[in-house]
Amino acid sequence: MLGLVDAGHAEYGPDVASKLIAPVACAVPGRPAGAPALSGALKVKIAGDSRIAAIYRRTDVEEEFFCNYALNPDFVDHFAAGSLRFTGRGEGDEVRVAELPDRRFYLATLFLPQLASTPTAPHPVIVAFVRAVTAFAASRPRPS
Amino acid sequence: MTATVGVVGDFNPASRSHRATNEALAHTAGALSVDLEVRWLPTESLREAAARDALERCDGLWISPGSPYRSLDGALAAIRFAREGDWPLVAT
Repeated sequence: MLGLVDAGHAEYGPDVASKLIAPVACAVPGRPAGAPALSGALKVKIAGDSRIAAIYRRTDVEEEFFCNYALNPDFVDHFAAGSLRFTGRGEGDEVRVAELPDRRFYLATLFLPQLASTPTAPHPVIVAFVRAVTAFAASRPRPS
Repeated sequence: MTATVGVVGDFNPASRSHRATNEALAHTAGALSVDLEVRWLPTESLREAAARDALERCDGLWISPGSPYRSLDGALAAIRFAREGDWPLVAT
């Protein structure tokens, strides 16, 4: 990936050469016992000219997290030459959202929109994804 | 017309995040008045070349939470499929 032939994920073994995905450096203080490092509602700053900003129609959001691993900050600059954009950041500038703008819908979040989605207020990221899925289904020949 | 979402992951009924994924897709489809089929795709099944058929039958992929996956290679193969083929993808 972008010249990283040995990109790895620390959860799958301590021996990967490039720990692209690493344990979260700053755990949320005061979280419940046994909860992951990033738990509960945390603020995310959204880049104004992004797909996810168009989905939210605002740039300051709060989302539900439940995870222990994140993109290793040492590798963020490595992606500058590629098409992947980091379009959501935590309060310490940590990467929280990534997207590929040149795809019809390609969006990754460190938080879990499904935890905040309800029947009366489905989460906007999930609404946008389902719309993209149904539009794609309608646009292509049905698989046999 | 029914659209199909493939959820890439190893479904565990004890996982709140996994249950919430199914519930969110169901209530979002209801809110949008669209027919949506949800199909979990176990990561070990995605390692093989034959998995391409299963991925092509989906109209979008949701890369589920709940790592470690049983097969990281299988999950990465699905993510690559979506990127190269321009399939809708969300990863949460």
